[in-house]
Amino acid sequence: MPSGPLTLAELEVGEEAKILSIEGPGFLRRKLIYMGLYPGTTVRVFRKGPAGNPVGIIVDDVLLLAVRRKDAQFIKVRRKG
Amino acid sequence: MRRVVFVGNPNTGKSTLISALSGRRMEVANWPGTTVERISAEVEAGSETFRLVDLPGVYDLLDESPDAEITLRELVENPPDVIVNVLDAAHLERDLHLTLELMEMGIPMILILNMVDEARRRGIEVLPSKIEEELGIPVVETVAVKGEGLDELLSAIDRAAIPVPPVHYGKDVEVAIEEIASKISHPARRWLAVALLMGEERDFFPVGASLKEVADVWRERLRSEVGDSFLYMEGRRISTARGVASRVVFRGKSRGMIQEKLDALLMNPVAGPVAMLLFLILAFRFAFFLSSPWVEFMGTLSRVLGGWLLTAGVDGMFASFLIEGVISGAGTVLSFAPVLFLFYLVLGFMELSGIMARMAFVLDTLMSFIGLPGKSFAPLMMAFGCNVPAIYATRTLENFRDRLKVALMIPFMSCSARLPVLVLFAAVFFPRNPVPVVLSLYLLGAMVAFITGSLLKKLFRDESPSIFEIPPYRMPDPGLLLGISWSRTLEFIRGAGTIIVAGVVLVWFTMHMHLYGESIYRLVSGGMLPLFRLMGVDDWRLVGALIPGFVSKEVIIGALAVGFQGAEHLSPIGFVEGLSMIRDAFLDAVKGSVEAPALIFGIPGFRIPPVELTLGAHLSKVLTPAGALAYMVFVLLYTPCLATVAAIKQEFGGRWALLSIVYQMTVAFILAVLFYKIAVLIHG
Repeated sequence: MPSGPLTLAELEVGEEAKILSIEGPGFLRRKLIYMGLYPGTTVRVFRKGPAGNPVGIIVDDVLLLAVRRKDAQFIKVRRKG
Repeated sequence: MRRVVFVGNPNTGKSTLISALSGRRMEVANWPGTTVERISAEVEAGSETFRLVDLPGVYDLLDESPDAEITLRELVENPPDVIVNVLDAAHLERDLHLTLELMEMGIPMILILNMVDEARRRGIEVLPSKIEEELGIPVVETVAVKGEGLDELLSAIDRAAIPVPPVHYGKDVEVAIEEIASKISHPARRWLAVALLMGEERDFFPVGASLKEVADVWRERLRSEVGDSFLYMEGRRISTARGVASRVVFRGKSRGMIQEKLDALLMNPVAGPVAMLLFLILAFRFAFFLSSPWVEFMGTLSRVLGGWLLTAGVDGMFASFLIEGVISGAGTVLSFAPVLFLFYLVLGFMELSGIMARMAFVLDTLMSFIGLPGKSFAPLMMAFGCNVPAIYATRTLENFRDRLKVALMIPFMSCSARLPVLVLFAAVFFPRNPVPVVLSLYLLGAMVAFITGSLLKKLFRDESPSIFEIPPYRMPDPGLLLGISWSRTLEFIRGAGTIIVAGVVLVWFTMHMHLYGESIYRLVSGGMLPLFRLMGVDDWRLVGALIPGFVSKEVIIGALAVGFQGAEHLSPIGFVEGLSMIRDAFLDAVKGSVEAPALIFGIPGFRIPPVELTLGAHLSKVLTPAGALAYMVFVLLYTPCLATVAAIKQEFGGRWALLSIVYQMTVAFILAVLFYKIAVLIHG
């Protein structure tokens, strides 16, 4: 189960953060890495879907991705500024 | 002739590049044994001809998607002469990840920075000369949609060189890679060695079992040093990509984009779903109204062909077989073609323009209740027009189980062919409020679909991670759009055509072959009657009409009319007369298509043709309102048409097609009986 620091799922719209680590099952971790989400990248939540799901994020200012909240819980982040 | 394959992440514009390079003359087919589209073209450059092939878009060769498997298999089993790696200049760092992998494949390669205009608008400048310096392979900038950089691309193919693998995995790992690679005699030996060390294998890798064991031993030995070798290797690729990107990408100020304003509407939690729904309804109604005049044209065409046959002296049973069996079967197939083609255009536009990804975003929550991604909303809505393209539209979903789930739900969505039957019965048996009755039936269909989805969600437990890219809005390449839609339509005619013609011919045989002095049709309908009595349907002609209705719902009313009022005979038609009938029908169809755009905002009509009113009088003598309701429920829910069955078979195999028939029949029967019993209870 996800625990510890802040996760991507907890960020509010407009907040920016740096990815610290990605946890969870291997297949999920791989998928996220392939799509461009890995430690060190900067993500900003630009929009959330109805009832807060999925989370729409911009990776490094250019790449728009949508992640379901239950998957976003495995992405540990540190808030920026 | 050199074979040049285009490889890149999804949405980088590979197909559009091939379309532009070939002057929009590309061939669209499927990869053998799959439903993934294969786009290829022959292009002349100077004195040489290149065979360009578009490999399915992938984020990583080791991704476990069907697309990635095709791409990897092709690169390993059938190494091309040159790889053209297409990157989106706007997010170079992520796209470089695949580039670094490809550079380990030992195949001459060039790099294409596509959509540089879009990147510039976002304030991103990439220096191609710098990348050439970093990676040692030719780099060309293009804007595929505007045709910029195409000549440079072709001439760069000549300068393609086998790359020097850019990722260094550290001293100890490199020793392992070297040892494993030295035992592989395939150009991609380094990539294969790395994959084996990562613990990855595919049945088509050209390596023996003993080598896999060697790799496993190495992987264990390296564990103390690097931990999980998979994550370690990926990590090295990521940091190399980041290093390269940091040296070649320059960021300035982004100019504001229309995208954000459109997104504010389409991705808004409230306005988004409403806008999507409106868009879908209008787009599909447009496709429907544009194509329905052509369905009538096809009908006239087969009537004239039949008339000509009679005039030519083809007579008796054989003429009837040709006309009512073969020609009308082929006519059924062809009458689907215009509907399908237009629906595919709409669907293709949604996919290529970026609208589909937004739909997936706003409808994700709703669809997740039945364990489906938001995208699956589109095929379900499409089903209200016609179930057949809706089944094929499930291809837009990545996961086989998701596709199957949607395909099993689709047949319960009431298509436009069921509407006339529902309208006729509602007008005859519920004359005071036919519209609410028909609407409730539509709702019932949708509810049964939704319940089916929930049941399947429980059955298919696993939910794959739902993470997807939202590409910028783009105007699709018209050549590509037409090419894909046309190829999909042809595929339906080829794949489903024989099944449908066979079905129509079979129905013809049941009607014309006799046993014990009765037609088989009559015997079968009579035999099934006891079952239908349970839902208050007590006339073999009503049951009989459901048999051709299984082939297509359009013919139910016609079959009822034949049953109650006798058959309408085909008459001979002279050659000239036939030609002028075809011409008139053609002009009518053109006129109908021109008028179509005006119709899409109108309300569906509930007019009943006078011929059907006489039929209605017959019907009201043999059915009670409760029985009529049950009959409508049955027509709504049982197998929509043979074309839908054929589509399910083509996409998912015969077993699922058969299972779906059994399921639809069972659901239709149980609910029809249930509705009858309740109606009788309430009204006595």
